[in-house]
Amino acid sequence: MDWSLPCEFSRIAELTTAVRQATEPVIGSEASEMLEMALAEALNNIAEHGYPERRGPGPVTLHLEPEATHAVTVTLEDRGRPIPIAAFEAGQDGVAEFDPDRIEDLPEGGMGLGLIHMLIDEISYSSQGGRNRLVLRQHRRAAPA
Amino acid sequence: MKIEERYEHGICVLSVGESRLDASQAPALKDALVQRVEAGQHQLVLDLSQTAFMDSSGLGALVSCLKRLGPRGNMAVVGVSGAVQRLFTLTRMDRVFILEPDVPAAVARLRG
Repeated sequence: MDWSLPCEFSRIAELTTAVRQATEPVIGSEASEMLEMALAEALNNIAEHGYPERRGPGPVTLHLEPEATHAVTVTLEDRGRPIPIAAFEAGQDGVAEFDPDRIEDLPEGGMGLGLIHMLIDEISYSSQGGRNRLVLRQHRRAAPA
Repeated sequence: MKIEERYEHGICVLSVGESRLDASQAPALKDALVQRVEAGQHQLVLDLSQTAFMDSSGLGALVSCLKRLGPRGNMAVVGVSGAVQRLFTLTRMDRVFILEPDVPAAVARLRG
């Protein structure tokens, strides 16, 4: 399945809910909810950092590939500014640690990449020839015992 | 932004009538919360039982309100489940916010 739309905040929900509905029968409710959360963060980042507002919303395409083995692969492509490698790698450690008692220093943003890494089973990212590609592979969660 | 406001024992209870709190809603959510704090409400209960989905920008709006409250106030969040609960857990913001199952429990907690 393929979707294509201008990446702006007001359009993100329609895309993530469509993916949620399409993937739930394949990978189950929990894994598809996690995929929806990760996709929302990835699309927020593209809208905010990839296509800064002064240039207007840029195009994003999403390709969904269900697999026979209770897994799905989602490929997100955009032509905006790529994610800096250092930021992407820092996200591999999850959401950055903070002191819950220091209210004034709590993060109000910058959690998206960390969340994506925590929510998704397999992630790859590449940027070539002005085309950025984020590939998310998500498996069905084991049924609770 | 659909928000219903009421008072229980002098505590401001805000019920959010939005099923999604994402980046398209976060600025309005932040404005609505900060507006109450600026108006002198320093004990807030935020009821998210109608909200099925929230992203990190929605959470950022809550954090922003907490910072505005500072040491003089408190905010409890109630009715979180599903993706919203998962967001609080993964970001470890469940250690920062008072999370209670429902409004009566949150009001009791804030009244001490």
